[in-house]
Amino acid sequence: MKISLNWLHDFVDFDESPEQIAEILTFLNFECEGIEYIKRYVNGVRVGKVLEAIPHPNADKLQLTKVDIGGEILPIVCGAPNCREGLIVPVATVGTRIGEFTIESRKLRGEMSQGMILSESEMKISESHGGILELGDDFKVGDDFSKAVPAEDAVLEFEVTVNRPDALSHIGMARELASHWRRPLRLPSFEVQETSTRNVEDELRIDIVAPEQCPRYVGRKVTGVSVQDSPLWMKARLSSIGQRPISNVVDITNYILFELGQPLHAFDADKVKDGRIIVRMAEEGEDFVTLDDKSRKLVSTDLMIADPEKGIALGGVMGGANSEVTDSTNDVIIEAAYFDPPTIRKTAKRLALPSEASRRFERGADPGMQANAAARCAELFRLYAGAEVLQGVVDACPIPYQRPPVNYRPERAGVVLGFEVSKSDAIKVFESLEFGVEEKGDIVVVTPPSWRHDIEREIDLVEEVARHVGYDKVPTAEESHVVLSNEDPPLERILDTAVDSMVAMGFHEAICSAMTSGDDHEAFAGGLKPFEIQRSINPEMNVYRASLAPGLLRVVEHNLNRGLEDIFVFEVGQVGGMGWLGCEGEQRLHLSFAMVGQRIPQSYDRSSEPVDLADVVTVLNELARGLTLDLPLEFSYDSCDNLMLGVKVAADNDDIAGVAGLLKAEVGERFGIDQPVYMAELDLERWVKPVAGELRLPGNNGGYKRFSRFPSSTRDVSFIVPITTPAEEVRRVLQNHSNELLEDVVLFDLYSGEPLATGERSLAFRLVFRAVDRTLTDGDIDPVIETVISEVEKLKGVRLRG
Amino acid sequence: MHEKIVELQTLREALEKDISKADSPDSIEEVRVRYIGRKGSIADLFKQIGRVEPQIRGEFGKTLNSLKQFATAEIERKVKDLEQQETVAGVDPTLPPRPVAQGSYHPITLIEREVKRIFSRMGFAVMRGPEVEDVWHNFDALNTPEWHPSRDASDTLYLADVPDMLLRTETSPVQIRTMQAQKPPIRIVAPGRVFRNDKPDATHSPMFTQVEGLYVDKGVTFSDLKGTVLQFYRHLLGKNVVTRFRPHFFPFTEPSAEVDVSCPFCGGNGCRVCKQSGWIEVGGSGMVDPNVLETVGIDPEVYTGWAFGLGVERMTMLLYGVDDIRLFYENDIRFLQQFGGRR
Ligand SMILES: [Zn+2]
Repeated sequence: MKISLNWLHDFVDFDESPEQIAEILTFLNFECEGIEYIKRYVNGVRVGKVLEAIPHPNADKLQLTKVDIGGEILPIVCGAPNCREGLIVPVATVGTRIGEFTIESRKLRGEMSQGMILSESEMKISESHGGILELGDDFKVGDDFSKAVPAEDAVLEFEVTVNRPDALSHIGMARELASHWRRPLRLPSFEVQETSTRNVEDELRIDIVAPEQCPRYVGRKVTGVSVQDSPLWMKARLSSIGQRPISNVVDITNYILFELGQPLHAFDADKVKDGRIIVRMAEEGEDFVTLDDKSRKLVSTDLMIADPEKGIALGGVMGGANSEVTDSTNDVIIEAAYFDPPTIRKTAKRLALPSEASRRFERGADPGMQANAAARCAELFRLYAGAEVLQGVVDACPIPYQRPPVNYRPERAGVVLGFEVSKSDAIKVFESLEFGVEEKGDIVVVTPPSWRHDIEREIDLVEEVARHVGYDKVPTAEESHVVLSNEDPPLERILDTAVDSMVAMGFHEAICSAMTSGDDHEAFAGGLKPFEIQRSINPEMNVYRASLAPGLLRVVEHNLNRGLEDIFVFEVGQVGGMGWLGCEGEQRLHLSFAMVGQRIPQSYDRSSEPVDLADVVTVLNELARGLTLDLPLEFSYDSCDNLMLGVKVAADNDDIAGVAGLLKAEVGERFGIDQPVYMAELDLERWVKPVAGELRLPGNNGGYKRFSRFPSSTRDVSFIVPITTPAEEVRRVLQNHSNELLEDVVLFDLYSGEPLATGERSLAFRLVFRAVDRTLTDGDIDPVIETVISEVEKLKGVRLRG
Repeated sequence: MHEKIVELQTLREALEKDISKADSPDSIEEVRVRYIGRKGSIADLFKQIGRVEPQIRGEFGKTLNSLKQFATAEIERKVKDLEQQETVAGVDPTLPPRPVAQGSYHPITLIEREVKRIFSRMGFAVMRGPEVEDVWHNFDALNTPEWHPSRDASDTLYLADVPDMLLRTETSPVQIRTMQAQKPPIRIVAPGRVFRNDKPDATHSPMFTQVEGLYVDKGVTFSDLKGTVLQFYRHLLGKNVVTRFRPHFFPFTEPSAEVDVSCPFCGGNGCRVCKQSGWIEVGGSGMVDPNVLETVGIDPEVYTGWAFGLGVERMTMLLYGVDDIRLFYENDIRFLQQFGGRR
């Protein structure tokens, strides 16, 4: 909302600077978003009369004029096509500054010119390009032109919160300032000289068929309107708040909208059949051509302003082309109405027709302002459009507005604010805001004025008190009474730990948009069904993700395209919809990581090593360790749909908590990635299964285990096994058939090739034995080794390597 | 002192000098042979013990023994020193560091953790909630009027196939969920991603991160809000910052306030970061609206509460000087790896 300070001066006296006004209103709820200093080039400009205008002998488009500026007649060469004898015009004399340049006496195509006849745009009054400004007879030749239009103004732009439609006008802002300063507010005059002898009641009838949607409709009528330019001061004010002046009829209604906040509409009275206005709901499917010449299909919730034959305006939203005021209009019906906010909102939104008028109706106009606004409009038509005002007014008000009083307990401010505001101080605030105040014992009964829709509850009054006393007056508590009442849910620590573990393993944390591309989800075979978004911002963000993997693959693609080679990234985030992991509609916290390139980067004295499947397993193991899950993980070797050679991370036998492995090349290609991507995605909640309130120790959930101070004995055994036999299977037999002296089983060598047959490989394990109370001897270990070897040899196709 | 004892002391001094002068395995070996070798000077002295005058023989023998132990230990130490020196002598210390696979935290995580840490010290628990929310938790329960523009599809992203479900626009629904589940006193902070129907550009992102704080108890006041918010920002931005509260409108709170914090970069004098104003707008706050408390079954006559929020991206951009919000979600490793440090 733009506010002109010149305009504001009409309603409240002040000599505060624009910056001070900005500051005051900012701390009264209306944040100032900018100050524009307007400078019009009117200083030194005189009112002149064109005595003579003849064609320039050497230039087609120029004229030679003689201009009387009061006691002096200047020769001026003028290029405006509308320049002609008899015009009253603004003239810049020699030495006057117009913007960047100074008017000089000089020859134009050989003819002397001692001044310049100005247009509105040259003086920065408006952006009109209608040639030189033609002044009316009310300007006196020789006068200082700057008396008519002030040279300077400051325009402040404020953010008006949606609860305060009353502040969407100069009066509204003036009211806030007047209250703040405790200075009187001056309303504009609502007197109207009803100069016509005709009576409006004979010529205008208003029937409200839809009173809920239109509780009040005020009509006035003027006759003999002459559509022309608005007065200069009005043009200047409208221009400074960014409104383009159009014609007096349009400008006057606009002016009152920005002055009082009441939207008005002007109908050409001759186009309103029988002078009868019917306020009704539109018929379903009714066609209506609005002012912008667009035909619109209406629905039964649209409010129609109609005459007995046809619709003439879409109530509160836009006028109709069929009743528009034109240059030939003679009589005008002025509409000032109060419309039901939700009704207007629905229509404006459905037809995407937001306007300054609908913006005010939607949030709630002042239901007490209609008669005054109509009177002011009629009077301005009389003054600036040559109209005569008909006697009387038609005020149809089937549902008068009511503002129920609100009880205010003075102690309540202290309870909410932590700062006592005395009853008398609160009353002063209320009274300065023109609230009705009545004391009943300890309670103050406050009746809000018609324009304050937002005051309905005691807390609203507390806020008014806080606002006008000033938030800065509320003391800043030194310390607040702290109690440790709430505890982080267990998932929070898991989230942090997972991130810590991944970072410690050399991964970069990524945060991807949770809105991602449905196509990217489709690249994954089987069951990735994200939530579709109704009106997505762009096709790359048309679903809410069901998996972190698509986003992470986009990160891989981005970095590869930028020439990076080793990409280790992960994300921890929420997913929804139907993901990989069977979370049907539930939202889960997932972790996903991707590895591309070299695990050990190349350096001057080391060679690189590419990432492989073992790295995925290693990361998962380390992650599990970081999360203090019991090792080892259960891997299921079934390959899953998208990850070739996949390993599934199983939480329980049938509850799959994650998938991991090498991404299928064809999926990678869909993301423009032509390199092996090793990745995993885990449902952290399902994997870790946190339980609130359950003890979970950081770093080591199992607790300290005593270790032996005696030396260990180690034995190496190696087997030749079919390549299809997983190493883990062999390891488990070794572990399960040893006794309690076994401390560890480590695969320390893996070999295939000569002299082994194809389809075979050799697995060498080191078994570490140790007792807590003594040094072991061969006698302790030999029988164990014999047992485990014979057990392993029971596996199909497995034999001890000699 | 007897001259024989003085002789031993002189020998010890010579030994120390020779050890320190030795600068190679050869030269220290030569020292070893010369002093403690079988024909070395200490062995010679042992042979002389019998000839030493009886009254000092005891002292001479003792001193000689300790000299031999000293010589053996010091020569051995020097041998190891010289060996180690040889090991590192071949290494060029100006070689570049070997590449270390160094991970990094996302800057949003770093600042979010900082916020969590500060609130945690004030007794606030961290709460999270679903990103896909229902209309009731996201709007209705938060006292958002039916007509409020934030409900429009032009502002809010709704799901296509599931009625009344949307991507949450605030983390405030977490406050509702918490108040439904717990009785006051309640102190929580709710970090999380939120979503708006905004076209991405340098300063707007359709997804961003918010942290909201909520405190509900008997006797909680606007004054407490001001105090807590000030303390929070002093911990986050330095002890000299000040805050100011401007009236505003949020459906969820009344009275409502926008919070400005004095610019930590210029001390409020005006600089590029604060656009010369000396102040930085950091978020909304206010006293929880009685309607909200009633909706979750908390009696607003008995309990009061405050809430406040801040945008993590905005704060992160400010603190690290990141000039384009899109960098956060592009996840370019050259960006990410700049945030390697841990907190
Ligand atoms: Zn600054």
